[in-house]
Amino acid sequence: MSDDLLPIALRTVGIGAVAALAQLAPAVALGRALAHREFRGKALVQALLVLPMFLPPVAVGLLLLLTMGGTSTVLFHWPGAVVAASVVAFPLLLRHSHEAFAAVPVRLSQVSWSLGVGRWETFWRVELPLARRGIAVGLVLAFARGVSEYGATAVVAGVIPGRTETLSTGLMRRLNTGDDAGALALAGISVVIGLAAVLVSEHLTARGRP
Amino acid sequence: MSVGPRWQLDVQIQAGDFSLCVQTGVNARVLALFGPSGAGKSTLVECLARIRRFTGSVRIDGRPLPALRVGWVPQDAALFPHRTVEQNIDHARRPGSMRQRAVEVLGLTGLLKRRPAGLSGGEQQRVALARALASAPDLLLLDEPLSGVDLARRARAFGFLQEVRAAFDVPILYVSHDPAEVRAIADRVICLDEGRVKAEGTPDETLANAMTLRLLDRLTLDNVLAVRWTEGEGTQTAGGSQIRVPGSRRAGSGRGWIGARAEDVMLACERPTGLSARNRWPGRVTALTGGASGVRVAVDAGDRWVARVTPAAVAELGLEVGAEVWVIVKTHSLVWLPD
Repeated sequence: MSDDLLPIALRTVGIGAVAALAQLAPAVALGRALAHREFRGKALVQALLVLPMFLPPVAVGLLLLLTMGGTSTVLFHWPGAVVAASVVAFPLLLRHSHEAFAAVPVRLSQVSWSLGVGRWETFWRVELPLARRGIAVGLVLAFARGVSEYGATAVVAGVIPGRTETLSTGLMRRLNTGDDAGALALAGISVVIGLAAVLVSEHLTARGRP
Repeated sequence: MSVGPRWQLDVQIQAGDFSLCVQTGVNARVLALFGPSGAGKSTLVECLARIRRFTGSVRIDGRPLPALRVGWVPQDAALFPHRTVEQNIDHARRPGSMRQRAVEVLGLTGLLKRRPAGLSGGEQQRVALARALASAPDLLLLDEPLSGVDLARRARAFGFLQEVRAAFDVPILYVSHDPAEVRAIADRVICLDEGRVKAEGTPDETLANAMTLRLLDRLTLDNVLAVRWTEGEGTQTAGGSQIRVPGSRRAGSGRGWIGARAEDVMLACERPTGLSARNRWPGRVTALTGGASGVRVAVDAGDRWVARVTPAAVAELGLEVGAEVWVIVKTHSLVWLPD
């Protein structure tokens, strides 16, 4: 194994973790709102929020590039990879958050409100604890999706060895340069991380079943 | 005139095909809301629990609804499943709430560390009631509190409600479609059907209303029989059967109505002996309906009776249309209905 594989793996895991955590608050807020609120244009909002999951990642990267313009600290730096991974993985976390809140009977919140417990406190003490397992599953899967992200990351962060190279972009670069052993090693690391994430999410899902 | 706080209810809702319009003023410590499913009872309760918008205003003893602390016990108890019984009770606890007294009166001391999932329906209702009482409510809303309690435990659960009535000086709105419960606990009754107040008064007055009687027939009393009694011959059903009825409230001669729930009617495939139940008649099964949760068996025994039995009992007794059976009804399972 060449010396640069471990830094690439650590960088990718770091990017995936930061990206997943960065999505957490908006995914929880939007998931809660979509689960229990009706408003005009809700279907369109939902469609727009999950759209990145169904677009070519390269197209997502291009749109990000256009949106962010010349933000020098983000583009072609590791934060660019975080942004790319966040946008592509967000629908996954949002979907799990939405489903987790939808599974919390609204009656429980209503009882809490009627007893004089405020909406914010009810959210923290009733809704979030009951939805947390579903959100955690979404978080793990969003992390795994961020780790495996290629297209948007390559466009926004580039493939700069030692700076923005991730498991996916590094793997592609090694394939293009004929470094089959390096590519295989990165593929192996990706498999291990992906498998671990799926196993953790399955475990969390199984623990949540009655 | 009844004693107790003044309830001024002016609640109006129009939502699609459903409309609710309740405008009344009564004095009662315990006000019962009586009526069939879909009458609007739970909707009215949700308005008072402030989780449903309505036009109009509600005042209890002159205090407007927004100024009142409300203790709502929904039909399904709605306990927080991730918290222990103790944490549920303390969810909205306020200082000086008599929380400890509620725990004692409702017999919850031994259950405090348990989770709701491990509790029976009756226990869950008691916890929900304690949770409401711990919030120091100015108004207690009990939405069919015995509906999730199996019949065998209902009397005990109702005893707890009676104790709460005696121990806590809080106005109570008690929703039920059981006339026996309403009679036993309420000072005044509002009879609701199709979103409108159809009758209002004391339990005896209201349940004596002819319209209420028709509602009763649609409610839980699957068996409603016309009876007549004379001085020498006792009480007879319209089908000609002698029937032992509870109490001695009927003197002289006259006509009336009695009712019984299908759950309180037993069936036997042979003539029963050595039983304390006084009312037994031979009959023939005319219909079976239902499924895994319970089978309703209609029997022609001179009068038409409906019994609710388990699928296992159907199999064991060989119940089928045409089968000969004995209908057994305990005297105290019968309730007098208003004339």
